[in-house]
Amino acid sequence: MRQKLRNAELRLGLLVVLITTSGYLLVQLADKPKLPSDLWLFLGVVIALYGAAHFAVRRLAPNANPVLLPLAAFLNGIGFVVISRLDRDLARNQAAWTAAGVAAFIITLALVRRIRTLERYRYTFLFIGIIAVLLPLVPKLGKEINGARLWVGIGPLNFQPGEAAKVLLVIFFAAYLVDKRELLASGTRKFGRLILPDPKHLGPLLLVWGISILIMVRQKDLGSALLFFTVFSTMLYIATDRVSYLVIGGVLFIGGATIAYQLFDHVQTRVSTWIDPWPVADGKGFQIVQSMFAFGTGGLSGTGLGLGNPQQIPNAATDFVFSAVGEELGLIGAVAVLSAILLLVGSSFNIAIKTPRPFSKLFAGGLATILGVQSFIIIAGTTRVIPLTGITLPFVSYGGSSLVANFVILALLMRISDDTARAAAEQPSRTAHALPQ
Amino acid sequence: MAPDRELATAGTRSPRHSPSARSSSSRHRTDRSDPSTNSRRPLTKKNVPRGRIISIFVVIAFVYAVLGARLFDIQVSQKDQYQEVGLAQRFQSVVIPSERGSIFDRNGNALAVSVERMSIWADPRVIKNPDTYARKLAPILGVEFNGLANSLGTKNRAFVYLARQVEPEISNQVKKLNLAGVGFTPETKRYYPAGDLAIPVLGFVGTDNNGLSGLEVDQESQLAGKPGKMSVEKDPQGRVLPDSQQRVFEPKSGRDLLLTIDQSMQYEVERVLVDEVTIAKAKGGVAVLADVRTGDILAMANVDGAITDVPAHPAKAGSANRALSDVFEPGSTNKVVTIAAAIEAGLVNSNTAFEVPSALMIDGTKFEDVHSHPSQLSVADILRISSNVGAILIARTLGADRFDAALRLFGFGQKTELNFPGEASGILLPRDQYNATSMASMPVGSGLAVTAMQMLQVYLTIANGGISVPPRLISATIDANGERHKKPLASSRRVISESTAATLTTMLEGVVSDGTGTKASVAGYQVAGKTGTARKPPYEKPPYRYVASFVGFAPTEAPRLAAIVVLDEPQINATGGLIAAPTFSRIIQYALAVDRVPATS
Repeated sequence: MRQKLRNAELRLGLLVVLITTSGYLLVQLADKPKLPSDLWLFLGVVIALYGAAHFAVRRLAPNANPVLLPLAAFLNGIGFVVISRLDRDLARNQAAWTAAGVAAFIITLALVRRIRTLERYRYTFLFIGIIAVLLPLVPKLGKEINGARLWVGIGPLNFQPGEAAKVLLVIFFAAYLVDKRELLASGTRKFGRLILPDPKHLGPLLLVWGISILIMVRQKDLGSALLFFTVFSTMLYIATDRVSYLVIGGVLFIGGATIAYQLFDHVQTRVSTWIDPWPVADGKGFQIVQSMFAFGTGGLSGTGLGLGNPQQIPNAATDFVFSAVGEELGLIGAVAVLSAILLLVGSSFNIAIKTPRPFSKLFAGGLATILGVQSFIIIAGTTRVIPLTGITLPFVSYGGSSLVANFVILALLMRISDDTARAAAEQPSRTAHALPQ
Repeated sequence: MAPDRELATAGTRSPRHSPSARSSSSRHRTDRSDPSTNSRRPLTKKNVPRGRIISIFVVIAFVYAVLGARLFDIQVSQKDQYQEVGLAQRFQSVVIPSERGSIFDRNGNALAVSVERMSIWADPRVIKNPDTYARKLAPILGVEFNGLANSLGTKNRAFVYLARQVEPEISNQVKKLNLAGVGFTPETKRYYPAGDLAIPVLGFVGTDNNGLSGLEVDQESQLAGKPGKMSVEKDPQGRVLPDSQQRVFEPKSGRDLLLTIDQSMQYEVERVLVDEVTIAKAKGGVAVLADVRTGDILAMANVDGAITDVPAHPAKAGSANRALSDVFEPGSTNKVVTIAAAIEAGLVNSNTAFEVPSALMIDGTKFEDVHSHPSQLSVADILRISSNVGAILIARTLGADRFDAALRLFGFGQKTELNFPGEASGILLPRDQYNATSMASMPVGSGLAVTAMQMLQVYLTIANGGISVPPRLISATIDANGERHKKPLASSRRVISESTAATLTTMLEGVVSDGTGTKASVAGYQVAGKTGTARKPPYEKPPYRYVASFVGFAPTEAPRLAAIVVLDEPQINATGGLIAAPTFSRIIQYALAVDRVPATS
């Protein structure tokens, strides 16, 4: 059984290695008609990285879901290929960060042998999480890049502690909701059709809302705020079955967003260029308009790797990596990436459904929501479905903090999956009940 | 959605729970993990919120489907639109200026040419040390260090001009410095090799080489040509991408103009006129020299009188071409129109005698003659000694209708065929607005205003045997291939009969040989012409201001050249006979020599 799972993971992995290496080769050939000298090195590194992750899973989580790692690797590979096409220097960094991500993946699997270990340290994680959110606001330590204060710089190294905070706060919230979900579910106040819980139980919700507002106002990062808030509202809903939380969450978010709109020019710009970027196509709307051109130029099958002009889009490697994919790989490539993300999100939700333990369920559900919502925010932003808010596309975008955090999320999801399967295997009689019906 | 659905369903749940939950160290977990003691139970099995997780996933899958649809919309449905705009935007067009045509005199001497000059610009974003740059560039460009450092340090600008259309040695010096972020753009600069010569006729151009006045603007369509276009692919910073596609539409050079102006005659006319303006202490003066048979303008001079510490000088660039734009009351030169019409109508001939008193009172205004004369004068005498009363008497015989028709037939009250920018039509009352004194003032050249060119046109007509040949400044254009396109002569028209013209010529000869215009005579040639002196308004208040003029032609037996000289507000010898006539003489003498017109006596 476990052999079968892992062998599937290995076969899918080989396919990913093939796709990634072919993509890299195409990018290099588009530059000059000569086999790149580092092709074998590249192939070796890709195999080594995937192999390391895969064999770590074999040892540390042998019963885990076999599609998560190949899907993440596929997204990571496509992302790397596009980044290597945009900027060689960024590609070198991204390779290093990918290695760091794989290391973080293995370390997480090794350290977190039982997912309930995390549940125990909920308040520690809450504490660290809040500090991580606040860190960029510390004078001198924090850095503002592109209008958002999300960065912490230590020497030459910049990182976004918000990426770590995301995971830490989801752990806390999952654990907290498992404790308090009945209290939160029992409504005591009625407003029309809405039944609200007792205000004293709303504390954590308001705390998260406060954190989100803080991110939005102090760090000017609308995307992260939207992500935090959506994820926590969704987790509340999963825990309590109360749509009212989604409504309250929505109202609170809209309130916060309105305040941000009033206060910040760059938020107003994002909204106005979303509604109509054309009058300012050479100025404030340049990025989004370039993104539209990239998609349009790509068409159905794309210009081909290395043959488009995605470098025209500012921040093509980070926020707009999906536009670069759309230009060079076309609708087919873009939909492939979209599908891979959806499969990844779906598999993660499946892990949440399968696991019998409430904490794992909420935790996996929260992580799955992070992946799903974060990808949506940035893809919808670059395609002008919603106003643009800068945030990374998980596994695909350039960015160290994001990549490492996403590999940790991947490891945690696989840990939960492994826990579930192992528990089922140890008590076969219960398997039938644990499986979805 | 009952608030206590979980509690309600809890009773039906299996008491089983996972071993991991039991082993949890959490206090709450332990409390709740025992179904027998607490109805609040872990989310196991039946109360697994599967439905909720699935519904969340369904929502996410739905929005992903929306994203997919949006991608299809952008990449397939609206593809063309985005592609087209995208390409159009990536390819920026750069205008390649066309070469502006040159202007030559009738002998091919260049009067206006375009030369290539480099404009020097900088991309401040590239420049790290504006001060260092400015220190190096300021002395070469001859500008102030501070201003230069400021423009080099302009933030958020990709392009600033440092100097426009500089001399080659300056641009070469800057090129040698090899500064990153400093660029050169060739631009053409209009250059007038003969300096201010005929500049009010030529006009001038703006920085972008577009004609702003004179022939430069009048002939813009000929001179300008068609600018070319170069499409270059640019990166988001506006830098031209190497190897980018370039689609070039070649610029079409403008045509050269071959003028009727003769550079040497123009020079001489200007020189002579400057002298006369200086001597007469006049406010200014104009002179026009033309070929009788073709209407070609050989010289058209505008001179500014001296002011405090600037001596009289040919008008500078930007001055109006006053020979065409300014009007004046002609005075006695206008008498020929009255006499021509009267002869043409068969009312008089040169010998017809008139009883001419020394003054006439008409509607309370006194019209008198300047010179005393016998009481009986022939028509020829009236013209020769410029008798105002005599001219008025002839006009009376003629009548207002025929007089008015003659004025218009000679071309007063309308622009000449030159249709020069800023040209005036002159002031000529409509026939029905003539007042009680009109038939007294207009025959002697007041109460109407003409341009110098209009008056010259009258004498050109007489000289040309009664046929008016419209004046012209351009004889041909030369296209980019060097091919010459002759400008056809405008159709001429007969104004007076040949015999009338001959009679008038003889009478005008008398003016020069034995009348008011003796100073217009030229040794060896028979010269015909007429003096004119008119008071400028306001007429009644001293100091009186005059316009003194002389207009005539030579040689009378076969007229070749005609000229008019008009002096504005001369303060010394302020009559046409004393100052304009000698100037005319010098001009015609020079022109006859240049054109090698054989002397008659």
